[in-house]
Amino acid sequence: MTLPWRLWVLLLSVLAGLTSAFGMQVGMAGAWWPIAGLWLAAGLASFGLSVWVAGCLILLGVAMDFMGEAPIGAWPLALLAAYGVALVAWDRQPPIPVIGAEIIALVGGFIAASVALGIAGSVAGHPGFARGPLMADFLMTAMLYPLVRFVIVPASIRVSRR
Amino acid sequence: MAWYGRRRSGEPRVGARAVVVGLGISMVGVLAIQTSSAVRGGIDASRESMDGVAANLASFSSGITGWSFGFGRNAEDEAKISELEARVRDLQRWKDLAETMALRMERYEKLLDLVGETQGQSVTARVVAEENGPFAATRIANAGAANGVREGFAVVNENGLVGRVIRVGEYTSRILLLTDFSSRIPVMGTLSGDRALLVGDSGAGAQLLEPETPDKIVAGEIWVTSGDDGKLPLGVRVGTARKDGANWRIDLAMESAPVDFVRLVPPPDFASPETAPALGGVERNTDESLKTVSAPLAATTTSTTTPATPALRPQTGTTRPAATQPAQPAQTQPAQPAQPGGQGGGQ
Repeated sequence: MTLPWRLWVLLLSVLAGLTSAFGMQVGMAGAWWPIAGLWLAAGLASFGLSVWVAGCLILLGVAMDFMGEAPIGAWPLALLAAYGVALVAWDRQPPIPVIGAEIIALVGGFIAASVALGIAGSVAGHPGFARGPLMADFLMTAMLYPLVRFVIVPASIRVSRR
Repeated sequence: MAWYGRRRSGEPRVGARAVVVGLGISMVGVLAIQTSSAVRGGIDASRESMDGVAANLASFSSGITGWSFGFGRNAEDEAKISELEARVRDLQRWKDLAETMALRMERYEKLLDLVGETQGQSVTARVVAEENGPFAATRIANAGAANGVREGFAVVNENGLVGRVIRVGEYTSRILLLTDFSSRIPVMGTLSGDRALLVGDSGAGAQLLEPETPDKIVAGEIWVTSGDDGKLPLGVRVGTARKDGANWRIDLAMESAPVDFVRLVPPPDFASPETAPALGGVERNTDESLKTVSAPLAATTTSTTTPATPALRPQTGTTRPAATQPAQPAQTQPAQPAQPGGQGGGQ
């Protein structure tokens, strides 16, 4: 992968972190706020397996752990799990249409992420885990994904896999 | 080759896969070692500073929104300001009244020699960031250790109890809401007098755990803090009781309006029996210059002889006013009934 692409992924990760921080504003605790890391995990898997992407997702996840008072490592594990599922969706042979790969990557990624978060909470000895806010946030993530995909998934992939 | 590089979908990237899987496993390891309290203590130190960063990020994001969408005041803002000004005037009247009542209460308590609940100075702060994720329901307030806030402070707003401070940074503090899984607050009903534990479950309101006499609880009854843990002040409004199947829940008062300004209240200032001074507050004489020829006897005397000294001191009129104060009511009170009689006799 080229240096500009790596910088682009890094920039996307920073933007995702800022998006998460934006959801911490006063008065937005009850709002459905997208999980920006899930967009990245689902979309960046279209490039294939990349250690750089995995590293960026881990950094983003650690930032989300600090912001969300989660056990350190919970969100990195969740994003890696989502990234793994998305990789499987994008690398299916024979290739499936982009829209199918994206749906599988997003929905499968969310399921994998929520399972990973539950496991992470148990492993770290956290007293509880609320699926309600996570589900609401995922709905907003899915609703906004059609707009965000134009930034994350390059046109060449979208056209070639149409 | 696209700008992002060649996609080698045909080659199995064993090394990269191993690295990603290894990263995932290492994350599980990181999670597992957090069960150790020592590791958690280390992480908490970094969380303290990160709370400040998160609050700044949220403020920065909020600032961008204000810069993008809000310029100047509009009619709605003006109306809101007028309404708030009127409310402030009204509250000022209530504040004066409350201060008068507090003064009277203080006088009464002094007259009755009542051991009240001493309360330290509270800190008013503004909530600058909110978090309501799968793991925690918390807020960040813009007052920290530099403002005198410490862990364990109760957090209240105009509606009632909001939660308590679980971590303090230099200028920020993390507030654990009553709805959080980790929240446990001893409460009591104002009508039934029943006591229970208020436990958060990340739902609407919170559940009452282990009520002593659940059959005495009344629907709609106001519940307040019981102060049984010695950490929260007594009588802070928490919410109203509601039947939920076989159990009782509390509709939290703090959920009736958004939480913005909060007061961080220190725990009641009780001295533990271990740290409280001995009766009379008299220490053993260790000053050699005060010893007489009976010094060997004084050195062997035990603490049972020391309470005699404060009774002597008021008579001699020496220093240590703090030690003399407890003895004063005992001396003056018997004399008071005699005064009217004396006056009557004179008439």
